Amino acid sequence: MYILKRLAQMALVVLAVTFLAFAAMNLLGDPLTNILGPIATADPADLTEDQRADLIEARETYYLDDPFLVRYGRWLGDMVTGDFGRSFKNDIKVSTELANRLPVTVFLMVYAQIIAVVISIPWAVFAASRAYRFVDKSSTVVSFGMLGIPVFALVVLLFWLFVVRFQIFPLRFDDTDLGSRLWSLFIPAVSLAIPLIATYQRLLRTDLISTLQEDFIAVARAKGMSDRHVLFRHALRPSLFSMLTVFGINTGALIGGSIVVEQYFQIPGIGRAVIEAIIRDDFPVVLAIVVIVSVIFVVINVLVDILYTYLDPRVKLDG
Amino acid sequence: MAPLLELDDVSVTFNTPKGPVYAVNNVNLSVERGQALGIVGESGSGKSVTMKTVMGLLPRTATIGGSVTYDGLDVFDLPSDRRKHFYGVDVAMIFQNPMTSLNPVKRISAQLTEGMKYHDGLSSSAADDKALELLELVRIPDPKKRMKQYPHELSGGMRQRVVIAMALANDPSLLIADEPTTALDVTVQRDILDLLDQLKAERDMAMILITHDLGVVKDRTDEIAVMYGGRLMEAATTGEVFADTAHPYTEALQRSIPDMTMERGTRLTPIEGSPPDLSIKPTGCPFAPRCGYATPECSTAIPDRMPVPGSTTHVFACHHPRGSAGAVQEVNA
Ligand SMILES: Nc1ncnc2c1ncn2[C@@H]1O[C@H](COP(=O)(O)OP(=O)(O)O)[C@@H](O)[C@H]1O
Ligand SMILES: [Mg+2]
Repeated sequence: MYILKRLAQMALVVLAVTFLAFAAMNLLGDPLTNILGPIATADPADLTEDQRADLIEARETYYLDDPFLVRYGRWLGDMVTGDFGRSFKNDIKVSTELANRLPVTVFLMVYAQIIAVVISIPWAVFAASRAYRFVDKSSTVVSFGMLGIPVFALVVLLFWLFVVRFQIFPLRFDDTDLGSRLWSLFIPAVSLAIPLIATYQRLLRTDLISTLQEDFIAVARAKGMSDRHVLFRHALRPSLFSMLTVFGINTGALIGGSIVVEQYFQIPGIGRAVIEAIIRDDFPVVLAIVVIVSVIFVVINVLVDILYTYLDPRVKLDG
Repeated sequence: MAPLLELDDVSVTFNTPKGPVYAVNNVNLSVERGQALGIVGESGSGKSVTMKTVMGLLPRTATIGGSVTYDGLDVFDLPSDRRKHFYGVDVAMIFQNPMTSLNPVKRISAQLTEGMKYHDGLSSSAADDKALELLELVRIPDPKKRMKQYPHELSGGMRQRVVIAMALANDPSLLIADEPTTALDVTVQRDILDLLDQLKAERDMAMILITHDLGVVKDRTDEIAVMYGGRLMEAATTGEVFADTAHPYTEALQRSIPDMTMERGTRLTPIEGSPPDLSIKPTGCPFAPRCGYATPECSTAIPDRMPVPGSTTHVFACHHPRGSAGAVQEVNA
């Protein structure tokens, strides 16, 4: 079955990512040093009781007495059951850290994607319905402009304009309720959404223009259906394929972008967590985040596959 | 009473990056209520473009001249309330390729009912009932099942039946069928044509049947218009076209009528040469280079359209007509 095959493929991707990350921690330098820092190599006599306990726990958590592959296998088994170990640098369970940080980032990403989709679809439809005319040509210029600005520059610009200069949006992430969450994350989400909007607009516009040449569009028009109906009810759905594909693939880039954005706006998400973890050399946390991010990527792309069948009944998941 | 649909001196020019394409030139056509008009001509003669002009389906690159009137109303300048009901309700069109005429991502039921809901404001269930009736009317096997299916689950013949049902959804007074069987298997072709004939008769609907095959319209239409190179070559009642052919092009088309029993792809006597390049404005008769009767005059003067003496329905555009028009010309000379 197709869907099972895809799931198996995706599981392989996750496996490869975890393997590489785990290998990096274990084979680049001494794993114990990677996990614990200098105490790993210090003279045991100089260590406190706690530090010695850490040493033993780290050896156990990462199965450092086993051969590499066994070590990987057992660690993977723990991950699957949700046991990500513990950060030895700031003494919290990694799973707790993830549980705190992940929802914020997922919220931000979903927010950005929603903004991107909600803006790009009507924009692309509008441009395609006036293909090669002024509106469409100027749309192209604008969207290329949006694609050209790097995320960090966008972040700085929007932050300065809307937070510092006009003080429309709050300076800090505010998590008191959904409204304040949405409001305080608006500029960060827009920063992430802008290149997405442009990408989606480009892709969808091109696909729409070719769909609009199809006979069934002429048939719908000959039936007297309104322009709106023809565009949104007939042309849109068969034109969403490229956009949907990129939607899935873009998840990776979006996570990259949210590292920048979270850092700049001090949003306590996974992007910021990974930076913090890297700065304090906190390998277990970095490792867990890498794994989680790859799982998110894979899950979204499987969802995209399932969505294909919704978009086009000719695509059979079991075919 | 004015004809149901009348095209007067219609011209269409496409402005392409390579220059203008003179796709339709000074075409006059008319269809009476309840009657059938056949438009015949080889591929590239401007038949589809002419009909797209009526249906408002031409791209923005097209410059349109002349006028189209429906029931005495200027089609290019319909009052907005009438406009909404013109396409789909007054006039419906069936296209050449049933494989591409249906939206691949919408169920048959949705495609059949959307026009009824939009134009007649039918409720979903009323529209579904009517759609089912239409599918029965076009004799689709197992209509209930078809409603829930997607186009790719249907054969070409069934799809064309769905397209026909869709065109009938709002009881049009005029049905334009643009080569409705060209893309279908020979065995299905006759069935579909017979179905169209029958529907036309039952519903007292006018029909324009477009084809490249004169044989198709022979027994099915009241009048025939022959087009070539974007021009009207000959127009007459169906009887006159066959009994007293005036134009050499019509004559050539008659010789190339394929037999219904022949395999698809084989031809009888095809007309030598190929249709003209419409990006070049002709200086004479567009058929002259392929015409056995052509004289130097034919490539220097575009023949006017004139009536066959003694007939009020028969017109042709040729310097050297055949049949009775030719005989009269010889007597006068
Ligand atoms: N959108 C267009 N742009 C430029 N030329 C066109 C366009 N549509 C049709 N034509 C040209 O108009 C001519 C007549 O085409 P058409 O009406 O489709 O012929 P037929 O239906 O008789 O086979 C052809 O030469 C075709 O290339
Ligand atoms: Mg055609």
